[in-house]
Amino acid sequence: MASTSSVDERPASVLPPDEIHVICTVGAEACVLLSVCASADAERLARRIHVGRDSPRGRFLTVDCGLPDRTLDEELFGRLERPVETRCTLFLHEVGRLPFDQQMRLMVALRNRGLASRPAPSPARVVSSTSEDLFRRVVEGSFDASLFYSLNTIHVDLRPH
Amino acid sequence: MTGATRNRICVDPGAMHTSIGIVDGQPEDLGPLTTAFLAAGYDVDGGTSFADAMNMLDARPRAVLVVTVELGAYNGLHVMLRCLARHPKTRVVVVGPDSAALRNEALTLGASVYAARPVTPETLVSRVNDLLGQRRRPQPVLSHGSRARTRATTDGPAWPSLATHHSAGESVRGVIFRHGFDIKR
Repeated sequence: MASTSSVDERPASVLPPDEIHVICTVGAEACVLLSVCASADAERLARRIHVGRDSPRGRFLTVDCGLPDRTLDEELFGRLERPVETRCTLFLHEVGRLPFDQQMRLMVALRNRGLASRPAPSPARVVSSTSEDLFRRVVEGSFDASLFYSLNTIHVDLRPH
Repeated sequence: MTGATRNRICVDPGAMHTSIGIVDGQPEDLGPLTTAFLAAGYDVDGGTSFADAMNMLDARPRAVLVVTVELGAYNGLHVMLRCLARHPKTRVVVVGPDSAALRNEALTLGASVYAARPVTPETLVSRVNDLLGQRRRPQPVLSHGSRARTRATTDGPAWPSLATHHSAGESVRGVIFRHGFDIKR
C-alpha cells in the first residue's frame, strides 16, 4: 500500500533511542501505549517492540478495537480467555475506539489474566495504540482512567506538539 | 512552611544532604510533600509533570525518587523506568491508588516501595527514612488516613527495613509476626 509506506518513512514514526532502551531492558514487561499521528505507524512500531523482546518470542496478536461489538468480543476477549502463549505480544490497535462497557471488561480481563499485574516471567506483553488524545478522553470521562494508566505504563507520544 | 508542619516532622541528622526528587501530578500536593522532606533535612527537588521529571533526571542522580502514578497523560512508572535505566542506584517510591494490580506491577518493575493512598507527607518521609536505613526518632502524630494511623501505632524502631517492598498493611503484619517470634525464642 503506497500510502502506508510513505507514512512509515516519516521520522516521527521512529521510536526514540531512550524509549527503545527502556522498553527492551528495565521495562521489558511493561504495557506500552503508542500515541501516533497515523494508525498505519502503530502496528509497525508495535512489531518493533515485539521483536525487541528476549528470545524465544511468541506470536504477535493484533486486535482491532474499532471492530463491531460482536466481532470485537470474539477477537479480544476470546483471546484473553484462552491460555496465553509464552512471550507473545497482544497489540490493541486504536484502543480509544473501545466502547465504555468494553473498557470495563478489558480492565477486568487484564487483571484476571495477570496482564496488568504480571508476575515474572511475563506471559504476554500488551502494546496499545491510539491516534487520538486519549488523556483528553479520560478527562472528559469517556475513557476509563484506571484502564488508561494500566495501558500506558510506558507512553510513547509520537504526535507533533 | 507552616509552624504546625515543622513541629510534626522530626529532623533526622542522617537525612541531611540526601537528595530526593519528587514528581507529583497534583500541584497542590507537591508543596506539602516538599515541605515535609525539607523539614526532615533532605535536599529536595520537585516537579509536576513528565517533562519536569526528565529535566530532573538529566540534572543529577537522586538517592530517592518519589513519584505518583498519575502524571497527566503519562504514568509515574514510566518516570521510574527512565530513572532506573539512567540511575540504577536510585530508590523509587511510587505513590498511587490502593490497587493490588498496580502495586504488583510497580514492585515487579523495580519500585522499592508502593505507597497506597491515602498517605500523608509524614508517612512518606517515614517510608523514605526506612528505605535509606536511617535512624528514626519517635513517630509524629499522623493527621488522617486509616492506613497511616495503623502504621503509626505499630511502627517502631526495631525492624524499619521491613517497611520496604510491601504495602503499609503487609509491613505492619510482618513487624508484628517478627516481634512475637523473637519474644518466644
